[in-house]
Amino acid sequence: MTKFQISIAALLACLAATSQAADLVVIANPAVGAITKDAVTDLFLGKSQAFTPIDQADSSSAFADFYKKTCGRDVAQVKATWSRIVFSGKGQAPKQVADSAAVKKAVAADPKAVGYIEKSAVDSSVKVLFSLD
Amino acid sequence: MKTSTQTAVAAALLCAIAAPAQAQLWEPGYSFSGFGTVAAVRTNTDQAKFGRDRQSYGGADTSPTFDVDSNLGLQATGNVNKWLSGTAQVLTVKRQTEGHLTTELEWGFLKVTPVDGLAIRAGRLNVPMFLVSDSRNIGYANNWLRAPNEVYGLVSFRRLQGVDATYHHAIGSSTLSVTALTGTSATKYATTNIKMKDVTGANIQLETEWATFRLGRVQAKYDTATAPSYSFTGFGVTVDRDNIFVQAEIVQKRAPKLAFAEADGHYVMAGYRFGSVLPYVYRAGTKPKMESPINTSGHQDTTALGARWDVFKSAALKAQIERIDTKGTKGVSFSGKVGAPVNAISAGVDFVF
Repeated sequence: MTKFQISIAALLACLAATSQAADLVVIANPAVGAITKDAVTDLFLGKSQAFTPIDQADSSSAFADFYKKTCGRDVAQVKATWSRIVFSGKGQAPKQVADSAAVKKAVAADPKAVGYIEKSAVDSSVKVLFSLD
Repeated sequence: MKTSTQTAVAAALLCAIAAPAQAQLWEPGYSFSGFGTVAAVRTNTDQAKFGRDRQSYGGADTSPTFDVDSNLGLQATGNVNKWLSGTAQVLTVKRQTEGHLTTELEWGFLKVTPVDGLAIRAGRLNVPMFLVSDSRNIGYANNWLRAPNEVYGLVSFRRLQGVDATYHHAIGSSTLSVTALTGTSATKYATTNIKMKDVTGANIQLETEWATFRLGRVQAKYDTATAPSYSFTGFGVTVDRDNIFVQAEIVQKRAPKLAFAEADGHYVMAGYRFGSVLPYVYRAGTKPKMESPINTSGHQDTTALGARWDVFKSAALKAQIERIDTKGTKGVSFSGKVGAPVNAISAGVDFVF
């Protein structure tokens, strides 16, 4: 019974983590003006160098959710795109940091930075550009 | 075979070493990354050996070999400041010149970005003849197991010692990139060196949300006493929308004083993504302007059926079967003449780290 309860708790924790990660917002340094969703997509796919993209780890569910919701691409497609850009010397992939807190910290520290975090992690150090619900 | 095994082992070791250190990859200042392919291919004929990119020695016959498609690339990029960076990439692969694996500097350049949208690079670069010239060695970046030889095997030089400049301009949600380049090129072959001078070129690329269109032309002169002229023109398109993937290219190689070097090539590839599996089919063809025994590009058609499976994080498995009809010539993929159409089967893994 205890094992069963642990399993249920683990399952619920997983579900909670998944639904939490699905609630993403795109944030920027307060010094950044308004940016459209298209411009953010271009930034994270290497088509634009106007701002500094801050990525989450490519193994995270936030990474998968962000790219699925902004450009409809899955993780493998995004990584293939970046390998094409990086290994032809055209550019460098966005810096990846550990989690939403690390993204927030990096975005707050760089006046040109743009990132994405869980909605619940937003505070006054960054500004919300738009939500990805 | 010994060297192939060594590459495979080296690749596996590098993966193992690089995996825990991946966080380092994204640090500002410098970055270190790599890519590779370990793949085997065999055919159903011993009449001639099957290769890619004009590999002169070895290649596949009824005994499978890792020599044709396996490679390993290592890249380091350092940023001096916001507008100046340097990149070096070494690639270990079996080249057109040697019977074994060789490691050479594939890219080595300094890049300046004086204003937003403009990038100027100088050093060792690639001549952008094709839609995916720049990433042709990176299996992971492409859906096919190998680029169709009917198009990608037509050129006799790829390296540029020189300068290129690219300007990116956003048009709505699309990006227009215009590249101009100039320099020289030298390629070692088994019995000869091909040197080109006055290499100039232009590339126009339009990238929309789900499609890429590319038009390019490269002109050059053979670096010999008579300096015959050479040109390579190509148009290509990639569509990657929802689950549909389509890619096609058409190229023309012209050398008015060397008619035997002239050829046309094309391919059309289509695939459909079922989650992490992408089955694809392509049809490719090339025809030299004149059939002659000294032709470096023969008549050849290929029909290929394959699949990419993104089964691991940062690695994709691929398999491909193809039927290559050279109309009795050596075509562009074989070391000598083959009579009947040849079947080839290939399988491998592409990875990045």
